[in-house]
Amino acid sequence: MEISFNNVSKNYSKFKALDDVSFHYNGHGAIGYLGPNGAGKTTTLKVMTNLLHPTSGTAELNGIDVNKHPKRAMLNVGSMIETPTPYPFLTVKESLQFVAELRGIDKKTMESRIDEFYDALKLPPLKSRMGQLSKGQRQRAVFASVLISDPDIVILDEPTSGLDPFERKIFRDFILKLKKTKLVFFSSHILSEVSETCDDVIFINHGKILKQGKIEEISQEFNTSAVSVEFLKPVDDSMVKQLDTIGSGVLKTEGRTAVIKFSGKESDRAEILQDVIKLAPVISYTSYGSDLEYAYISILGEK
Amino acid sequence: MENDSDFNQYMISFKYQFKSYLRTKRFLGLFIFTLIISVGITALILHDEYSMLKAGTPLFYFYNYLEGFATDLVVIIGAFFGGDIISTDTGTNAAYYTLVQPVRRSVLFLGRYTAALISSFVIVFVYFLIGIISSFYLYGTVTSVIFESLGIVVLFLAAAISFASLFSGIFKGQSSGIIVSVLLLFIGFPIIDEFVGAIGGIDPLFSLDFAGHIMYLIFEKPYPAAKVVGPAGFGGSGAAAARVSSFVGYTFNPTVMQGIGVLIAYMAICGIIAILLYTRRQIEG
Repeated sequence: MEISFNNVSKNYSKFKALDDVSFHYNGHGAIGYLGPNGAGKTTTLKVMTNLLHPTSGTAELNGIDVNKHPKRAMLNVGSMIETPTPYPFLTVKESLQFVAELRGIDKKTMESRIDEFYDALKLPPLKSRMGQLSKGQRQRAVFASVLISDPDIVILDEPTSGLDPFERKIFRDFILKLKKTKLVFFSSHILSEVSETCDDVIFINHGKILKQGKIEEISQEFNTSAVSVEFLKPVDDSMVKQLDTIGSGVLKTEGRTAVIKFSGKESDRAEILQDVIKLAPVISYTSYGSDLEYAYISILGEK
Repeated sequence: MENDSDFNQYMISFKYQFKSYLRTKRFLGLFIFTLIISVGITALILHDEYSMLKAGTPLFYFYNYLEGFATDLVVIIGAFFGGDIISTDTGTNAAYYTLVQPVRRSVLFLGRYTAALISSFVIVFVYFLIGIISSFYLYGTVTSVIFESLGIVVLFLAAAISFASLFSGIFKGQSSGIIVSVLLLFIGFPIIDEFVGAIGGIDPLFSLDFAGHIMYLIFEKPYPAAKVVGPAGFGGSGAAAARVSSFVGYTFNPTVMQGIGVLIAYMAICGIIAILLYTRRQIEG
C-alpha cells in the first residue's frame, strides 16, 4: 500500500491550487492532511482519486498512475471526498451493493460486510432511501461503501465535518482500527482528531506543502513546554514570586490559573507538580495547549 | 477480482440506474402524461373520424394515430431521460460516489444510456399499446408493421437520448441539459424543418425529428414520395388567398434508409462526443 505525489501542480488559469506538491507514504498507518480552508487539501484528494487531472506531475496509488490508469489504480482504494450523494432513489443496501458489485465482491462477502457495518457504523435502516437520510446517516452509509471492498488505501476528506460527537467518535474509532492494517490518508480541521489518530502529518497552505513528518517529531519541534496549573484559590503576587522559582518560571497567570514553562522533560514535569502542590491546593494540572495546535498555528500562521 | 470486467460493470451500472429511474417522479409523471395523451388522442380521432377509420385498415389507423403526436412524444421523453445522463454526476455530489469507483466512465455512461433507453421505451410503448387496443376495437386485428415501427422507435429514442446526453455533458446543471434538449428537439428542429423544407425547398435530412417520421410513414401504402411540390396550402378564398396560394410549397419525406441512416448517425456521433466529454470532465466542485 503506497501513495505517491510527485511534483504535482494544478492550475486554474493563473491560480495555482497546488504548487509542486510531493509526498510519499508506504505501509499501514494514518496520515493527517492539515491546512486552512482553500489551502489545497480537497484539490489534492481529487487529484489523488482522478476527479481532477494535474497540470503537471503524477499521482500514484500502489505504484499505478491514477490519472493514466484510473480503473486499476482505484481498485484497492476507497475514498470519500467532499459530501458524496449516492443515487437518491436507491436504498442504503442497494447503494452498498452497487459499489460492492462494481468492485467485484462476491455476494456472500458483501452480505456479511453489510451486516458487520450495520452494527459497527450504526447504519440507518438498510431499506431507507439515500435521499431521505440526514447528513450524518448518509456519511456513515458512504463510509461503509468505502470499506465494503476492504481496500488497502482509504482516502477521506474531512470525514467528520458537520457530524455530531457521537458520529465523530464512530469515525475516529474506525480510523484507529483501520490504520493497523491499511494506509489511511485524511484531511481534517480537527487537530485533536489528527493527533489522536495519525502517525504522520502534512501541513499545506496556498497549494504548497509547508511541513511534513511524524507527529511526535513535529510536536517535539513545536513543543510548548509548559503546564497549566489551576489552584483552589486565585494566584496572587506572592504566589507568582514563588512560582517563578519553579521550572523555568511563570509564563502567565489568570485568575486561579498559572502557566509554568519547563524543559519539556517528563521528570521535570513531575517535579513541578510536586512543587506546586506545596504552595496551594491544586484542582487540575495539564499540558498547556496542544503541541499540534501550536505547530499548526506556528507553521500556517507565519506564512 | 474476476468480476470487475467492463461487461459486468456495464450490467451493474444499467441495473442500478434502471432501478433508480423506475422510482423517480420523472418516470411516473411521463408515464401518466403519455397515458393521458394517448387516451385523449384516441378518443378525439375515434369521435371525429370514426366512420372514416372504420372503413379503413389498421395501417390507415396507425398512420393517423402516430402522425399526430408520436414524434413529439419520442423526442420529449428521449430528452428527459438523456438530458442528465452525465450531469447527474457533475451537477450533484453523485460524482464523489460513482466516479471514485474502479470503473471506466464510458462503461458507466453506457449502463445509464441503456437504462434511459429502456425506461423511455416503456413509456412510449404505452402510446403504442393504446393504439393496438384501438386497432383491435376497430378492426379486430393489428398490423404486423407495428413491430417495424417499434424497432424504429427504439432507434429514434436512442438517437434522441444521445443528442440530449451531449447537452448533459456540456452543461453542469441537471435541468439545463434537459431543458435545452427539449427546446431544440420539440421546438427548434420542427421550426427549422419547416423553413428549410416546406419553404426553402431543401431536404431537411440533417434533422433528427424529420428522420424520425419514418416510424409512421411506413404505415402509408404505397410509401410516400420523397419530395412533393405543390401550391402552399394556406387555404381561404378570394384574391388574397389566390396570391398566397401562388407560393410553391414543398413536402419532404425521408426514405426508410435515409431515416435509419440519420438516426444511427445521431446516435453514434452524439453518443461518442458525450462519452468523450464525460471521460474528460473534471469534478471541480
